[in-house]
Amino acid sequence: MEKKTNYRNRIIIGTLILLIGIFLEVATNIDRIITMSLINAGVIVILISYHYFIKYKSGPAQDEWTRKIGRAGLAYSWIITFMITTILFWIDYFGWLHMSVRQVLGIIFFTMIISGNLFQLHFKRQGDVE
Amino acid sequence: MRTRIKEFRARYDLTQGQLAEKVGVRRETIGFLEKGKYNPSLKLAYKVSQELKTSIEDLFIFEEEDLQ
Repeated sequence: MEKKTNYRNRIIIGTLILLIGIFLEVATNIDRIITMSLINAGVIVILISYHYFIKYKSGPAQDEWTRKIGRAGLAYSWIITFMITTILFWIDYFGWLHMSVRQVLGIIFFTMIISGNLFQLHFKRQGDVE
Repeated sequence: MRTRIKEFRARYDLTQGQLAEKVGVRRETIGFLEKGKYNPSLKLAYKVSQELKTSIEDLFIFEEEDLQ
């Protein structure tokens, strides 16, 4: 039997992250990007957990089907990210475009997230991965 | 691959959600299994066949082309 997901704990963890973010923003002079990241992460965890709670109640949020599709999506995303990284390397090597480390990391970061999600969405619609 | 899950499910008056809960998967997983779109693990196939009181061979029907 698959382990049932405890959404309440996830919502509590999300709330804690959110509160830590708010506390750091109000009480300290820490870089704003850190506090905003914590607040955003907290809100995202709460919203996603609540959405899954409404949709699946006490059932599993993950099962073998979602795990299989998740892994396949990430594997395909890895290949796309590798190709993008290779292209960026040659662009830099020939000096066609000058990019900062932050820009390159940003491109890789978004490529990973967007391609991973798109592949997972595609496989979910398809029903399986061949 | 064809499956007879829907037929057996109706025999025991089970909804997709009820069967999903019994075997510990999401309702969508049962939906894709019924449509023959998802090839389950042997473990899940066994659990579903046990819940529907039948054998894996009776529940999942493979055509010759599925095996190539």
